[in-house]
Amino acid sequence: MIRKLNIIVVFLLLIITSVSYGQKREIERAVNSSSVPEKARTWLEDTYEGHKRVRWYFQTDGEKEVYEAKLKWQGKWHSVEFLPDGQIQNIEILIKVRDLEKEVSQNLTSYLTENYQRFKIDRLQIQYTGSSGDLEELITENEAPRLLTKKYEIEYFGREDGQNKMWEGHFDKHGNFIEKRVIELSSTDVLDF
Amino acid sequence: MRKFFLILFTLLNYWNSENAMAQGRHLFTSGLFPEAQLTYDISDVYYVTHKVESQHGMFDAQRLNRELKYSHTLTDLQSFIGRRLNPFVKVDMGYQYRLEEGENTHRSIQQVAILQRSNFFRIGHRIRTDQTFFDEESALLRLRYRYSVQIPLQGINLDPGEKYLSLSNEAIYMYQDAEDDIENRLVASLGFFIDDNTKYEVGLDYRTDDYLVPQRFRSRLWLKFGVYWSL
Repeated sequence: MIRKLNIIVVFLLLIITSVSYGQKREIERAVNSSSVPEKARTWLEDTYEGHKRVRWYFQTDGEKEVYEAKLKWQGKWHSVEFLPDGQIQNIEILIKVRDLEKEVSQNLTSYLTENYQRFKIDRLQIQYTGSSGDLEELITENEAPRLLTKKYEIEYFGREDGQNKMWEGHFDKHGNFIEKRVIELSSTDVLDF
Repeated sequence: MRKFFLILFTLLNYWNSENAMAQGRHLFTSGLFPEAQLTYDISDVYYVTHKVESQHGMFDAQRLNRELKYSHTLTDLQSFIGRRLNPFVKVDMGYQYRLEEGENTHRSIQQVAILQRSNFFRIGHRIRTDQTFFDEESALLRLRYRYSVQIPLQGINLDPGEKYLSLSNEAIYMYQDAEDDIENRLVASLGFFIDDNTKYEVGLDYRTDDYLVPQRFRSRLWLKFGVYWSL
């Protein structure tokens, strides 16, 4: 009887563990600048000198935690990501398709044309990753140092096998495909009716 | 409650008071506007939406003592079938049965809804046409455009348990029996995003119409509250 009970308890624990493990929940919320690590705030103030309003957000997927600053700089939206210790991670700059270099644009378009019956790019960001000094130089000198890693992150809808899906795709600095994942847009019922 | 409607009446009717006073009358009513909506998929691209909305009059500025008095204004029962053309564009065809004092009416509805994503909020464009059929009168034809924004109040994206602000304005052109008119609907609501399948909203719906009919300009203010489910 006790053995049976033990088996049931172990079985239940396995289910609970696997369910809770599967429910890795991403949370993102706006935060006051006072709750952001000082090192991150100082880096931002020094680098984006004379910037306008900054919005700060805290994001976690249950494991990794980051602080993100969003601000408009020279007419473009910048997202600057920091670790909880204030160390800068990357800078993402929102751009338009027409801002892409010709080679990158051609490679992106040929990937999308070859892989989807129809597609539309909805959002396009350049992502720069590297050392704090190189990222600072990117903003202050308005030129990307060679050591920075440059990637493109695009959100697009693509029709594949007759099905429309939203994708987030990552491409290298030449516009060559690296990886992608399906993303779900939240429901629009309150906007439609 | 009476105080609430009187204050709203005073504030919101101020800007059109000149118009109304010049005509020697206040055509203003106010009341409650509950609604409930259910959307579910019937295939990968097709979905169905049912909606019930109801207007309950509580205040009428034309009453002698301006007392609060309940009256059922109307109840609409709507059903739509829609198709997602892509993640941003949907088309819907719908039917509405309206329960109203005097005459119940039938309405056919067609709409295109377009989603536009911005950095900090979502924008919804809705272009709609509808035709209302009466027993005796000619059909009423309307052309409508609504612009809505949904702004998360606690971050960039809406996460379960967070609140959002919903603002919309709709302009309506209508035509019946060689006469035309314009109506405008301005709505501001506070939304509660329980999760992607359940949302609640409470807000104010301010409607003005009969712009082109002499001495008939009227405004209506509704306290709107709704629940929206999607399965």
